[in-house]
Amino acid sequence: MKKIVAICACPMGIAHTYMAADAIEEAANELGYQVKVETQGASGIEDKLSPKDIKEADLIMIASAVKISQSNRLEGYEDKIVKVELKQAINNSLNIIKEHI
Amino acid sequence: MEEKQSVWKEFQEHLMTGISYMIPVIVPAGIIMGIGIMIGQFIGVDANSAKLLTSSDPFLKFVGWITQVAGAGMMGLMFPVFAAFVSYSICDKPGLAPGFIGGYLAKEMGSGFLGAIAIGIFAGYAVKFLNEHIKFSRTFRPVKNLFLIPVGGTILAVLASYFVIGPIGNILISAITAFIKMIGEFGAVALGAVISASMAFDLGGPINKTALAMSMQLNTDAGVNAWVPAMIGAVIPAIGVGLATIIDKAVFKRAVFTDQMKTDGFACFLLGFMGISEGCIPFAIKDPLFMVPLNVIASGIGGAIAVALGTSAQTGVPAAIWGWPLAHNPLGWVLAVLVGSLIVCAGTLYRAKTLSKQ
Repeated sequence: MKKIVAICACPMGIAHTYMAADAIEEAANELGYQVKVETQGASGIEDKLSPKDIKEADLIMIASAVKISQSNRLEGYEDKIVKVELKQAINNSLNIIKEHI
Repeated sequence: MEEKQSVWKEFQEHLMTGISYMIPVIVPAGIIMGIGIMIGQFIGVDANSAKLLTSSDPFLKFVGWITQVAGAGMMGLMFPVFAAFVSYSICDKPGLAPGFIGGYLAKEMGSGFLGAIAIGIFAGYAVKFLNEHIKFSRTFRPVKNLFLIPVGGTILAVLASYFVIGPIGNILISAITAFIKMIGEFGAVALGAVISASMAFDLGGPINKTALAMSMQLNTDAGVNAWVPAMIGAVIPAIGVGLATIIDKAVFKRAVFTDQMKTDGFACFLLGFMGISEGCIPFAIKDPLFMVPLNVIASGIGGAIAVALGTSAQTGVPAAIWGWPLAHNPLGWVLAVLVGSLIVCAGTLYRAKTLSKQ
């Protein structure tokens, strides 16, 4: 089964982060993919992606309006990273995933 | 598959990173100062008076200390924290130290928020440049990472502060202050309206954050009453839309919104009072051509009312209802939110049919 991981972050870390996370999870579920979304909100990192998650993933989606924390975890996996705006993730995750996987 | 980002996008991301780390500093700072000032008003002293700090009355001394030393000290941290994390966003960890000192100097030299932006950007790119252009063999890499980069980057940031950013920042800030004085009271009201309206435009999006940054800058550096209108613009759409979904039954004699919307709307209403505008987004998305102008106009009116009534506050006083009493003339805040929200509420009810279409 294909696996998608994502990291979401926004300046306030209250709403958009989680809206994007929900949208990505929903889209991945609809396509029948395994999914894990890390949120970097006002309360810090939740559902943190482990090195194993990152290694196994077929697609790493980054939906963020700020610099994401601990981005060194992603070093070496640049070829499967796709960076999108939060708005795109919230409205259009399904197509983004379809397009890149 | 990194997609190419435009320079402006990149710049925006650095600023937003700085803001996102700064907010958790200025919110408690604003509240602590606000509480000190509020206690001062109660007992009839000016909490910002230097005399309090040497007062023999322990309580008065504490009120002065918590406002001027603890509160203002924490507020002053906003500049270093902001500049450091702008720089961090550009070049990662080595950017922090030069950013912190640059932001501190921006505060000390009076170039304020503008200076902090400039030095954060400068420090970040300076360190990035050093990092990329100084090449050492693996054995000597510690010399580079522990000595050359932090010391070199910091020296560059310090020199840039002294010779460029400090002086230019001061000129800019004097110019802004003079401009604000020139436009006078009517201008201040108009400015409040514009800030408040911009906050409501995209409900937490980039325009909202730009308006927030501007209001911080004006409120902190130039002493313009710009913070309260920003906070008011942040809550009016959410409270107004939420209210509409709560009272629709009373107005139309039947529920016009779907159950889902009523649940969302109630949450949106409560979140609005906590200073969070994002709950309103689902409603705005459904009917943007009507809802966005409605939110913008209503919030603009609210912002204008607050400034016209002289409601002002420390930067960082939250938009949430518990921030309201910390302002000077809180009644203006209540009135501004009330009028603005009622306009949004009326507009939302008017468009209820369109909004509840699936």
